[in-house]
Amino acid sequence: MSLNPTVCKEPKFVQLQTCEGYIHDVETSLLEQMGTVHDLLMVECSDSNGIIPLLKIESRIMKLVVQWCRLVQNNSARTEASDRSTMFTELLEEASGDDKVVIQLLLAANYLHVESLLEVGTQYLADVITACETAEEIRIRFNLQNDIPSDETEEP
Amino acid sequence: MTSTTDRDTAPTVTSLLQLNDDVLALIIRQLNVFQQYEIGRLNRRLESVVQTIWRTRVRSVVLQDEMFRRSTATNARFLAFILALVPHMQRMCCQELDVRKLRLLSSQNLDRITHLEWLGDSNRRGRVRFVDEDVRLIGRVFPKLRRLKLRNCQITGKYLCDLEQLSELCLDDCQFLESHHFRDLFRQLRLRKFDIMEDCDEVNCCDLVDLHLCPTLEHIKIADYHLCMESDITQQLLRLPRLQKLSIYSKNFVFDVLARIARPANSPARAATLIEGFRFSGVLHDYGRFFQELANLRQLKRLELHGQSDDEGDGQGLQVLGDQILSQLSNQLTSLTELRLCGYQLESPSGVLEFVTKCRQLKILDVTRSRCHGELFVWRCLGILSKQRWRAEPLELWIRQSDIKSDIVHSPRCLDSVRLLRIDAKQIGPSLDCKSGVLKFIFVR
Repeated sequence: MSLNPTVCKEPKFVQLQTCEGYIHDVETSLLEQMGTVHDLLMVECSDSNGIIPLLKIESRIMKLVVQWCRLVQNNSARTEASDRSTMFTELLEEASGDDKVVIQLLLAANYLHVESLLEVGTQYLADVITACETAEEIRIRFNLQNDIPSDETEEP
Repeated sequence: MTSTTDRDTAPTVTSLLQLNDDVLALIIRQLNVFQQYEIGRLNRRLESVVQTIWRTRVRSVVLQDEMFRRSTATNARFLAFILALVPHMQRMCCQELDVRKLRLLSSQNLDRITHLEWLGDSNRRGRVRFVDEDVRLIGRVFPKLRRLKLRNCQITGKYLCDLEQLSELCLDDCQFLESHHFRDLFRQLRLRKFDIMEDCDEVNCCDLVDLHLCPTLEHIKIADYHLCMESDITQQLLRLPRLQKLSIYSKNFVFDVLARIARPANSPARAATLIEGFRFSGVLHDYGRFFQELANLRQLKRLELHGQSDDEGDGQGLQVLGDQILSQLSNQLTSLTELRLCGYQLESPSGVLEFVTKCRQLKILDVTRSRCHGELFVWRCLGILSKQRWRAEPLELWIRQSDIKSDIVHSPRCLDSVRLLRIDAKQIGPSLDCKSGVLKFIFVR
């Protein structure tokens, strides 16, 4: 399956397979937002069934990525950062998403080149970090191992 | 849609470090510079990301009090933060920072920093105000300082002359300056730019009487009360050998200031002939008188006027420029190469088009934000240009935000006449946000 118009008529859906083996039918119109998938289809890298393997992404996360892309498509007039932040927060709340989900979403967004999701997700985490009262709070929340020797962090 | 089977995944611990460096950089760039420092201290990898960002993005840093309000922002940590920034930082701006933070640096030598802005908080009182001793501290801590701006400071000016490397000094809303310190300031420093235009009411014309002792001055920004109308301060300023720009803020004495500089009888020999550019932005009640004075600058090459209105952008309330006064001015200023009349209502196209007829060297005509009677202006301009057989280059007409529609660029008549007239609907002139009430003179050097 490809998007090359000389080969066949453009399909309405593309099948994406996540790491657990789930297959997601995703509207072709959303693929413009997923640079990686879009490029894969252009060079016809899918297998003989027309399914594109995305083995780094879990199904739950893939659903959220697709939902996000639909939100962006359906709200194309809402391009202000604050609007997009609100959309992202609502998406997370509906999915009962926690920090783990946000990080996996960012990993997926980076892999799939979904720029809008990268932008809003990194802003979300930056806001969370800003809201932390102390550096120790950031360390605990995001499980950051302290691997800098104490003599290097000693203050004058 | 999904297929039917389901699979459990083993729970994993969430860590920011699962993200790659590029994504971490996207997150960290959105934090303020102190937060970046703090997060870089938590982990080696984060430290590396912060250093990569800092290598190119912290040449200019703005520090504000609210950045350090968290309980972990101790004095020791602030000092460590500055020392970590210093290898990358060249320009530092302190916006309403507690001056006690600046004083923590008193035993340091930050010789990479060449530009410093101290924008004080007018609400601060007592020991937390920026005073003369803090100027001495700046001299010690930033020995290579070339540019200094001080706002809302309680300084008399006595130690400013000790900043030996200083070439640009701006004093804004410094109400305690004492006149007897200015002589040393002008004599000892090789200043290129001196700016006391904003709210330095205590400084008057007598304090500037020694300005001529600083022959290196290229750009001076003052207010009209710094030019005592009864003395020859103005003439002394105009005699400065390297003067390139003189900006004078005037709320109520615009005509007097202009007359003092433009009229040949008032200014030193040849001073008016050395003025090649003039800019003014503001509201005037008598453009006829204004143009009369302006007409004395016979060698003017660049004229830039910005009108202001009270409206919300629909063009109502713009000041009107009459054809007669424009026509008279065009008879006098025939050397113009650039004419910018931005944000005005023209009585008709005729007045401005007189400049197109009479100024043979005119290259740019800028009517940004003006109401010029639409495309009629363009067609009449083309009519004039088509008769100018001597014209070797097209005239550029800038029309952004005016009442001339931008799609006129694509009209057949304009496309056929591109050798005569090049319309630009995108460019904005260099001074769109210039301060109101400032007369700026630019000198030939």
